[in-house]
Amino acid sequence: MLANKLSHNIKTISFFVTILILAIVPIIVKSPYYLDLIIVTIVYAVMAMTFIILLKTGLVSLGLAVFWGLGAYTSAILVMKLGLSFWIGLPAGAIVAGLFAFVLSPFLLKSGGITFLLLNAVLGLLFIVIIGNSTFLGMYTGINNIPEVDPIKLPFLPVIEFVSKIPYYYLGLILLIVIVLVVSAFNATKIGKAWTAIGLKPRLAESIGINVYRYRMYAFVLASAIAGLIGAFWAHYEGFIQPNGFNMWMTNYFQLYAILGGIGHGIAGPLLGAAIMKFFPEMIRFTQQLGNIITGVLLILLILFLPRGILSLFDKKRKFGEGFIFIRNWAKSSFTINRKEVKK
Amino acid sequence: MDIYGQLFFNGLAIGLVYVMLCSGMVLIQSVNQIIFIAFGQFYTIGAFLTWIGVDKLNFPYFAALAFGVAISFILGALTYLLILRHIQFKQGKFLATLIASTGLMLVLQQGSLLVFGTLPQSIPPIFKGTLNFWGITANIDKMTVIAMGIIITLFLFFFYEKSRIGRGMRATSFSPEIAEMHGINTNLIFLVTLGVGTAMAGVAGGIIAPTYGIDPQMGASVVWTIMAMTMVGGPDSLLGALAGGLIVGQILSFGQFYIGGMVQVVLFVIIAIILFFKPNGLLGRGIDIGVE
Repeated sequence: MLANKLSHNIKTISFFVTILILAIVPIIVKSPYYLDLIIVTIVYAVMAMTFIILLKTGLVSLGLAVFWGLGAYTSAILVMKLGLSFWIGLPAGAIVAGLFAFVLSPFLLKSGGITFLLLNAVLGLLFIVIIGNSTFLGMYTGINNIPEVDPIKLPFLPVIEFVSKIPYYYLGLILLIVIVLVVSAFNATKIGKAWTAIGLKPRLAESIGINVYRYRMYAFVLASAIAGLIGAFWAHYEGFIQPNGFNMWMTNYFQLYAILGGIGHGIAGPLLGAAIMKFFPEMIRFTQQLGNIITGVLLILLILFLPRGILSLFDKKRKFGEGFIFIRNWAKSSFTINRKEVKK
Repeated sequence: MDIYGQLFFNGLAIGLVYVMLCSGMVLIQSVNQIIFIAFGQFYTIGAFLTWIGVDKLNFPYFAALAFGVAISFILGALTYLLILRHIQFKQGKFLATLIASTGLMLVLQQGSLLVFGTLPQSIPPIFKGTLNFWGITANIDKMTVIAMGIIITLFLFFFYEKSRIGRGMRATSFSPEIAEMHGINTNLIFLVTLGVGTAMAGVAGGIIAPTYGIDPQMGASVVWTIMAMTMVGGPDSLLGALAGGLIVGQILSFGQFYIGGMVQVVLFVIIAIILFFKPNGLLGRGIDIGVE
């Protein structure tokens, strides 16, 4: 009981300490280039979190970037064509993406699993060609010169202008904290418990009276709304959007960030994975053209020898030396075509 | 009549290239039961190795094509031996293979940019001239694409249905455990399947090189379209790949002429409708890629 309480307190304390550390980052990091990398990392980490929310209910999505792009386009259109403020565009992006997911869920979630995956993939392709062929949405060249975030005017305080990277960083950080709190709140309730149950075994969950379709729909709508919210922020931060920026490879990269960090860790995993994948190619910039090759080789090595992500190194159940045994077996069995060696 | 014939002819040529690509993808999807998104890069590699063979090493075209196909086969087999073999039987294999093939995709994409350069290339047509029949102006080069497409597809079907290894593939795609119980070396079957699948991508790349031109990004851009096409016929049915490739080729050829760029929207809507009512595709049996 005491240990339980203590671990809960440690979790809360570490959450606040992390926020404090992140809040003083702009004081230490002066270079706008690195601040830009950090903001991009936050956006990508949030997208990887939405992937984990879906994965928790046993759904693998290849169309996350669609909802991301939907939020971005909604906000950009509302601000540019209707002249509304960004502070309306931001929630509107989330609401439109969430509603779109809600409307589509009867079609997508009908039988779950592979159908969901394939239909999502088709949705991803459809999104790009529809926007690419619509003059209102700016064809394949996309929308340029999206206005920056409207200044915040608070009484008794100086006006916050969004001209440098620092206000954007704090806005991104606040969005990240809100999203993390919302996701944690969902995970703590009955809905989160139902998600875990469905993820473990959908049939079994159904047999004990959990409405699999409904809880999966909640997860899908929540993930899409989060993606739309961060997409709206992304559109105004970048200043331009184009349909090919929301293609399937982006979704693929989000999955990669999540798995790199560790699927078992819904919040720390994506942040770590996205940070590594964003900063590592920059660190090895001296090898310019070899950068992608090194990244690819590292990914393959990671999935071979550390399949549950980097954070699984800190899991308690892990035995020491597991990786070395696997490396030995890998070297032994790679060059034999022997039917006895098939490991199940 | 003329214009319909011409459009049909063009659609047939591009459709048969898609058939070759789709059947390679379908083999990998149905036997290995994974989604292999590095597949597009083997298409690039086959095309550029053919170009290197013709342009740099002065091979005759068909020798260069064989060279490209052989290297594609070897690369695919090595992929199985070094990477996929160790992860495709485990829990959560879907995500593991997806990430491993993303890594492979990055390596092959950047590697082919380094080795082959970043410029679009083309090799001189093998046969020059045109034929006129039934009101169609047929480029002999496109006729070569059609003829080779038909020959290679027939050969693949013969291999899959009649040969010993092909029988092993069908048994393994049905159930690896039961196939193994009946004395099939499933490890060898998985290896050969991945090799044959990537070799099909390589041969498709080599065949389009003289007619349509090649560029280093073509593999990355085509892979999701191939996946969508395999969904039409069924992700695990070779006959479905034939149907899917031909249907999509015709839709693209006719649609491009009548409605322009919107043809892709129509195509994907059709695919979505087919998938909604028949999740396994028109002819598919349903694969278990371990999503759940």
